[in-house]
Parts: sequence; structure tokens; C-alpha cells
Amino acid sequence: MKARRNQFLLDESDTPTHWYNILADVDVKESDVRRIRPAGDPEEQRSNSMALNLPLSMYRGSVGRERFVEIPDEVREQYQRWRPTPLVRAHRLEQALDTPAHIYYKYEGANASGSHKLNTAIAQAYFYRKAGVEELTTGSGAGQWGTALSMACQMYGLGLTVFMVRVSHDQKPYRRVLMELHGARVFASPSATTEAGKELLARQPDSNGSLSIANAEALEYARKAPNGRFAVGSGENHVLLHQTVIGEEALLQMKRAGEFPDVVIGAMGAGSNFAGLAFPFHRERANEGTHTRLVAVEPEACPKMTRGRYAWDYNDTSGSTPMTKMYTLGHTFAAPGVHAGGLRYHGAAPLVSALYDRGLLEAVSYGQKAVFEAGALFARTEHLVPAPESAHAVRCAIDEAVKARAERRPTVILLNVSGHGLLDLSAYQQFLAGDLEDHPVPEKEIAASLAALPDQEPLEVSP
Amino acid sequence: MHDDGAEIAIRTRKIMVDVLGLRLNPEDITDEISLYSPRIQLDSLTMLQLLLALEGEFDVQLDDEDVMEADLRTVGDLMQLIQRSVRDTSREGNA
Repeated sequence: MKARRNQFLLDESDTPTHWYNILADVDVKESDVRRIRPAGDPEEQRSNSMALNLPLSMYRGSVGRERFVEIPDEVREQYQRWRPTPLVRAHRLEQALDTPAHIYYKYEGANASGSHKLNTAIAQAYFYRKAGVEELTTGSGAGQWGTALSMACQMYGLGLTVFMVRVSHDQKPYRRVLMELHGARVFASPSATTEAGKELLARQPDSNGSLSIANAEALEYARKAPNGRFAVGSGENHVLLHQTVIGEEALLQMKRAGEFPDVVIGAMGAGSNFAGLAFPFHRERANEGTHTRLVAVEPEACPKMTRGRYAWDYNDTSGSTPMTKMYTLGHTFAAPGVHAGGLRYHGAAPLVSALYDRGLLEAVSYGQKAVFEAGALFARTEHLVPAPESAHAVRCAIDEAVKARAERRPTVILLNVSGHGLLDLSAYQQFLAGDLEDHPVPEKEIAASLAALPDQEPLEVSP
Repeated sequence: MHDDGAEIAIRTRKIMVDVLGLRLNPEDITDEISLYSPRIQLDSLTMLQLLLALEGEFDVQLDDEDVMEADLRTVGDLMQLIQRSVRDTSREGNA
């Protein structure tokens, strides 16, 4: 009997040389998704000077129409320490589900930071250092981004200050330890370190925090640092661009497996997890006539795509960033404290949002009990504990496989297991104890945060 | 590329009007005007968009460190940055 194959591995030399820019294959202009903020008095001069936040060379490739953007040699060399990552056939999960579906997962959790976030952290740290920046600040939800960026900053000799969402900071103390081990300073957000944090704490002393607030604090902190800049872990074009190494490798690996996915699934925080795997498959669909469904999976505790609005909104609570057109729950939205599954950001990346608006991808949401149930099944069959974020994708993959069984339809499923859950075991502990609650967001709560959306009409610049 | 300061200034002002959607005539954009005044309202995003457009217009690639360090307050500051880049690119071409 022919031994079945579990892993589809690539050689180090197969590490992608280019990132994939989806703007070459979708009709989305920058002006469709970015806008000058109109808030405040348009006659007021806001400042006398402004430091550029993004290195131009990092921004350039992410907004042009070139299909492929070269990965700098130094970044690729760092990637090759952990990449290419494995593609694995989940035989045991398939057996447990008694499904005719073939399930493959791309595992991004084997690098030092434990998640896919390192792919963009390394690239960003490289570009910022090259631009002469000395320190970065950032907001982090569950902590994977802060962890990855702390490692990348340590690689490139950059200082780092992380504002971590308070409830996650308290739930996942070892993430903070990892960040501090790599030289980062970590504050639980909202904090008394910034005016934004102090203002919120004055109004809500027991606030659990949100990524929106954490980013606002990080932005304020960066503006006061002599040579500091604010870096983000998801949502922005350049971040999604960097993550496409996941999908580019997966395309090669699926070819080696002799199959092509009918459905590609990724968890949906701000979008880089999902986009990193899915975007290269969109290219194949757009140019090679494949028919792969792309499915983004979000928690019902933060359902921006399934229950939000496609609108102009701010990226954080400060209201000082340019507005973005995105599926959003409103920048004042905060996921409930009982939610243990990450993916807390109020908005979806503008590129993901634009594709969803055009019907080019699907979105589903799940309660956290079903998500952790899927994570536990994955751990018991594949012997890999997925991060709670990744468990959202696992849940959807299981449902697709069960549907394939019911319909007796062979189907090829590919999902992104974006990280391991070994630093999130407190969440699994809650699941095992039966202490997890589902928390679908009440309609009035969504309505209240959407009511705080900025003016949707474009700003008229004074003559 | 051979270009003089006056021509660079004219072309830069025109790009500013086009990219930023300004309701101004290019000749009304004087060097003293603050880039953050209500008439120009440059922000972090439009700054990037403008710089990319100027790169395309003059066929130059601005140096990351120069741009990060630049204290761009007025239209004149921006003009100087672009003129410097055009001059440096021209020198490299002639070397």
C-alpha cells in the first residue's frame, strides 16, 4: 500500500523572491479606499510640520499596479530562517470527520514568534531601519503582532514600545514576557502613559481596552518620540503585501500535492491572515480561470463583515488618521472582555473590504464555543494546538468538510493555521472548564458604535 | 535629467493641484504657504501620495532617509527636497 503523504515541503531556495500586489488584478483605486479626514474645523491649521510615518520605499510597492514587488535580499534572507513553511494534509482530521474532503493547512506557527505576523514584522523593521528610524511603537491585540515586532526590532536594533489591549495583556502574560525578552516596553492599554489612555480611563476606569485605543496610544507616543514611528500589524496594503508569501508558497505546494483548492479559508482580524493566503489564489482565479472560493472567518464577537457597514471610518479612536473605506463596526467599538479568540479589530482591511463589496469573497462568523471546539478537535487529531485566531479558520474548514460529507462531494479545502496556541492555553482552559460564553453583539451596540462614524461626505478643500 | 529650479517649481505646483485636488491655481501656491494650512491640508497619507507623484513626474526616487528626516513645513521646503533629488539624480546620470 502506498504510504500517504503528510507534508508538502519546499526547499529554502523556493522562498518567494517577490510579494504579490493584488492591485494589479482588482479595479480598486487608492482614492476609492483612502480619504483626507474631514473631522474638525477645516479652517483650522492642525500643525506646522509633520513627520512621514511610512518609509516611502515600503509604501511605493503597495499602492502601485506592479503585480510583483521584489522582496529585498536582506528580508528574504531573514525569511529563509523559517520559510518556506509546511503545507500539511490533515489526514487524521479528515478521518475523524469521515469526509470525502481533502483538507490541507498552511502552518505559519513554527517561527520564533509563533505566528504569521513575523512575515511583515521583519519587512517593516528592515524598511524603517533603512529609513533611519530608531524606535517603533505599536498596538497589539492578543499579542502575536507585538511579539513578532519585538523580535524583528531586536534583529534590526530598533527600540519598541507596545500598547497591548488590557484584557489580552492580563489573559496572556507570557506574551508580554516574550516581548520584554526581546527588548520591548509593554503597556496594558488603556494606560496612563498617554493623553488618549488617560482620557478613556477617566471615563471608563474598568475598560478592557480595544485595538483601536491601543493604536491611538501608540500613535500619540510615536509623535512625541524624537525619532519614533508607529507601525501596524495588519490592515494596511503593505502588510497584506508582505503576507502574500504564505499564498505564493501554498500555490507551489498544492501543485506538488497534485490538487487545487476549491475553497481557501483564513481568519479575519484586520485582514492580513486571510489575505496572505487568499490573495495569490485570487490572482489565479482572475487570470487562469480557476474557481476557488475565498472565505474570511470572523468571530461573532467582532462581526465587521457579516454585520458591519461598508463606510468611511478612522483606523483608531484618535480620529487623527486618514479615513479608510472599510467594513467596520465603528472605530469606538470594543469586543467584549469575555471574548477569548482574538481578531478584535473594528474594521476590515480596505483591500479585503473592497473585494467583499464586489462579491469576490465570502465571510462567515462563529461563536467562540464552536471555534474552540474546532481548535480542540484539531489538536486531538493533528496534534497541533492552533491559536484561537486560527481556530476560526479550522471551524469553517470542518464545516465545509462536513457539508462535503453530507453532499457526498469531494472537495479540496485549504486553510491558514496562522499560529500556534501554546501561549493561549488559558483560553483553552476556559473552554475545557465549560466557562466560555458566546457573546453575539447586540444590535443596539452595533448601532451605537456605527452612529459614531465620521461624516461620509468628502471634504471640500477651501480655495 | 537637466532641469532648472523655476521649471521644477512650476511642475511641482501643478502636481500638487492635481494630486491633492486643490481649488487653487498653481501660480497661487507660493513657497511661504504652510503645507498644513487649510488651503493645502497635507496629511500623512496625501504627503505619501504627493511624493510618489513627484517621483513619477521627475523620474527620481527619493531617498527614504532624506524624506524621513526632512522637516517639511512649507511649499518651499518641499520644492527644495525635490530640487535636491533631481540635481542628485542628474549628477549620478552624468557620473
